[in-house]
Amino acid sequence: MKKNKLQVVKAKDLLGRDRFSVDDDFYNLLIKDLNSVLKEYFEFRNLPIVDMVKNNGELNVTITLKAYNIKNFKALSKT
Amino acid sequence: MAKKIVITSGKGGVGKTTVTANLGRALSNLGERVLLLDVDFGLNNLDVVMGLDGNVLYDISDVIEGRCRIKQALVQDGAKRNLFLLSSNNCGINNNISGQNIKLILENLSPNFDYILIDCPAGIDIGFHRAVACADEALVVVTPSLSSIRDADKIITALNSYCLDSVGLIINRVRGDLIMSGDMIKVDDIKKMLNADIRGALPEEDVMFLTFGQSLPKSTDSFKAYKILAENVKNGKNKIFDNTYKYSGFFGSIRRGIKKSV
Ligand SMILES: Nc1ncnc2c1ncn2[C@@H]1O[C@H](COP(=O)(O)OP(=O)(O)OP(=O)(O)O)[C@@H](O)[C@H]1O
Ligand SMILES: [Mg+2]
Repeated sequence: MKKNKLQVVKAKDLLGRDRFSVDDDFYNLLIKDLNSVLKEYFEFRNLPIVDMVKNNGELNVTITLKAYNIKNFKALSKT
Repeated sequence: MAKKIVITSGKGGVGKTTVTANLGRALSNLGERVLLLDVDFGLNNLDVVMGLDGNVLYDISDVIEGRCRIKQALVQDGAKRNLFLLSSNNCGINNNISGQNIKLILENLSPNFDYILIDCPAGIDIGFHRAVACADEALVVVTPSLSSIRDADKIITALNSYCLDSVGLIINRVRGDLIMSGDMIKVDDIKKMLNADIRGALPEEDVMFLTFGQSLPKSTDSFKAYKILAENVKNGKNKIFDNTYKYSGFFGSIRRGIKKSV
């Protein structure tokens, strides 16, 4: 195989692994953002948990939150 | 109102500052009014690459900290009357300057220009955020090497979390001879891997080094490639300069042989 074809194979492999393995900053930011959105809707004690599993080239993302109550908006109209 | 374009990259030293300067010159050759803004605080080089370092009296931190008015800090290019530079400070990384500070300055200058090109520092930290936060579009500079492609991929992911109108790629330091001999990744393969539009493919040429601080001679491939890049930026097109044109066919293989032996 020519050198540039080998480089493409290597690069694709590298990007595939990078795209899946998120670094801590990404994870922390995601949790922080989810937390700020979810706390408007639910009452909970622990931060949400994000789980990512690679599946046939796609990423299944599962967000788990243990809430003990739904927040009452009151301000929202019923229509 | 000016279109604000940030020139960024994951990896350092891939040619952001060189691209900012020469794309600025190429856009000004098309008659556009261009401002080049250096936000690589403490490690600024755009003034040197433009050959204007001797003319800088005030920089962007002087504007932000009220030591001068915005227009006093603009330096006009020696050759092009429609090309200006707003330099950044060279004495230490200033973390007190926020993206909002820069945004306000750019809003103020925007009616006077067609394009504002922002030279971004390498990496993804506060400097990156400051530069990207005030841009409408991003151009990611990448070289045909594994490490640069890998870092560009991370930058493109990071750029997705900003509300930008478009993210385009500039492949810099392309060697047509090495592509033809099968030793360098092809421009199109990089486009496919990074899944972004290519706005420019710029050759690696000694002229970049030899004409440091000056405009590129019109006869060079770099000049032609930058002209196409500028037209793409202006018209939203993706025409690519063919870096291999010299190296195909019988004479091309001789040229390749000569280049390899140099
Ligand atoms: N197409 C090219 N052909 C030859 N040399 C080039 C080319 N592009 C850039 N260079 C050279 O590469 C070096 C680094 O370029 P430059 O300073 O523009 O990179 P940068 O990405 O701005 O770096 P930094 O991350 O440190 O800000 C310079 O010496 C420049 O002349
Ligand atoms: Mg630079």
